[in-house]
Amino acid sequence: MNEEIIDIHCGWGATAVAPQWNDAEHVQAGLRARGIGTAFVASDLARHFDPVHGNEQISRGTEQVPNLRPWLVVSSDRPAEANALMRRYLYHNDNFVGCALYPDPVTGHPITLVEAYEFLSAFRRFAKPLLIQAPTGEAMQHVGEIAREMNTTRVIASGMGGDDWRLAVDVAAKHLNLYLDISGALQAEKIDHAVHVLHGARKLLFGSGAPHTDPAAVLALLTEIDLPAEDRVRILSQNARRIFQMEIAVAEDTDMIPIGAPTPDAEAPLSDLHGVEEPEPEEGQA
Amino acid sequence: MNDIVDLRTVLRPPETDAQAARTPAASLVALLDRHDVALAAVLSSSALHHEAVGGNAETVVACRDEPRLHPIFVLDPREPGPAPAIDGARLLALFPATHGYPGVYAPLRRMLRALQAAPTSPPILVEAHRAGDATALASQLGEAGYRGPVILSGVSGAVTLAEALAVAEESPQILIATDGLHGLGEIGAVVHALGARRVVFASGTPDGSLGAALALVRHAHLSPDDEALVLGGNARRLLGIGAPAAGSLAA
Repeated sequence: MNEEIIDIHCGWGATAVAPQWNDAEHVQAGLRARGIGTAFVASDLARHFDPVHGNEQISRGTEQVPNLRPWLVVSSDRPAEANALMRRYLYHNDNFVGCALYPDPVTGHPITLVEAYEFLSAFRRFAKPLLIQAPTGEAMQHVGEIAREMNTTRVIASGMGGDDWRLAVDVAAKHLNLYLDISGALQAEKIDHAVHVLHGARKLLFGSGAPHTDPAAVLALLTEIDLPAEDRVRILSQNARRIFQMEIAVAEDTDMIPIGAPTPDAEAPLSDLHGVEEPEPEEGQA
Repeated sequence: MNDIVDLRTVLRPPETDAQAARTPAASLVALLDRHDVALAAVLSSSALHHEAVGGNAETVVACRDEPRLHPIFVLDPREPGPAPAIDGARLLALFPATHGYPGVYAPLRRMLRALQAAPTSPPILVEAHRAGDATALASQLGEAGYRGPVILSGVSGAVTLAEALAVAEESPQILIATDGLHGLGEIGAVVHALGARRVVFASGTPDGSLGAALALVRHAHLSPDDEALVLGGNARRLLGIGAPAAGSLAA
């Protein structure tokens, strides 16, 4: 069987040099050329300008494409709009993998717990993963605060803090529910460092940020270091299947374990996961 | 297999005990070997982040022991004194953003004039990831009359890529390095706009991944001839280093 690769964070929207990156067939072809079979995509229109129409476009553009699944992009500082979008797309549409939050498109101001609190409170009930882009160390620290507050939610920091990847790894080590995708700085040593500090690769996910970064470059990071084969599989697909509760490929593409069946990782006790203590439950939470 | 020449690499002090077992130059050469890179132009991180003249001297010493490495002389217009000695330099480099001076900067203009007066006009690699720097550089090159090739480094994303292409289209002496072109289709777009002779492979390794930099070129859908120019031919031309002997590259 070919190596399975799931890209958990791509953009969706034309750019000057990738003008067809809003066409499912073209996006799939570009990903397949790099060995990527499945991708979770987030609307650039929703991210930069218009969440309502951006999410609507991506919903329509991916509804017949099982290997492309959308993120619901919301503005956490517009909680009423975000709530309406979540009711529309997360209650009645299993295609959306979760919600994605991005820094302010104009100022770059990161997502903070205080400013996103109302949205986060509403998001809890959907029990889906939350992706927050963290292109800097400062943004990563805010993601850590959010992960602590949302300790029953799977939180993914995308971008690994950019050049501040050491800080990003340190923050991820403190929160059991906080995961990192390996996009951001194109430095292979950050993956080595993360595997060492996090006692394995169970909290790392393959995400590229395409088209703003070519996935081939991010994939090349994994071949540049001496990564054990089982860690490579975890980063490229196994962790994503666990975190997003996808079916598990066990032998051949057609041979799947149904949703909800226990997986090797799901059976592992929490204390085995990362070599860190389980956080204290927050007041009022399970 | 292509003849690969990396136009920007860095000699970096060791960060781990394992790295300390080798000199920075030997570590860099081992990295080049791993990716079948034949030659590299190199600067020392000391020249970049501490002091240019002393750091450049370190680079020259390191390159004496490793014939596959060729020194990049870092120029710092903030440093007082006479124009830097560039005799024998194959490649110069300017880092406006890292050194914290603006794109339009009188000491830079003075330095470019001094370089123009020198008997040779070696290529200059210029950090241009900050919006506005490529535009400012182009106007100062024109004012100073410098005629050597200029390679824009660290260009990435819609804003600076559009800027770099605009200045390069106006000025044939300007080339673009691949070290910032991380986006899908960026390298292909630059080759399409300027021609493959004006795009040069550079990685910034070990600060950036050499494997990732190569993957970006190899997924750019270039013709074999264009890929050969980008990966090695152009850098050899700029550095004045002849092509390898026929048969020295594995098929």
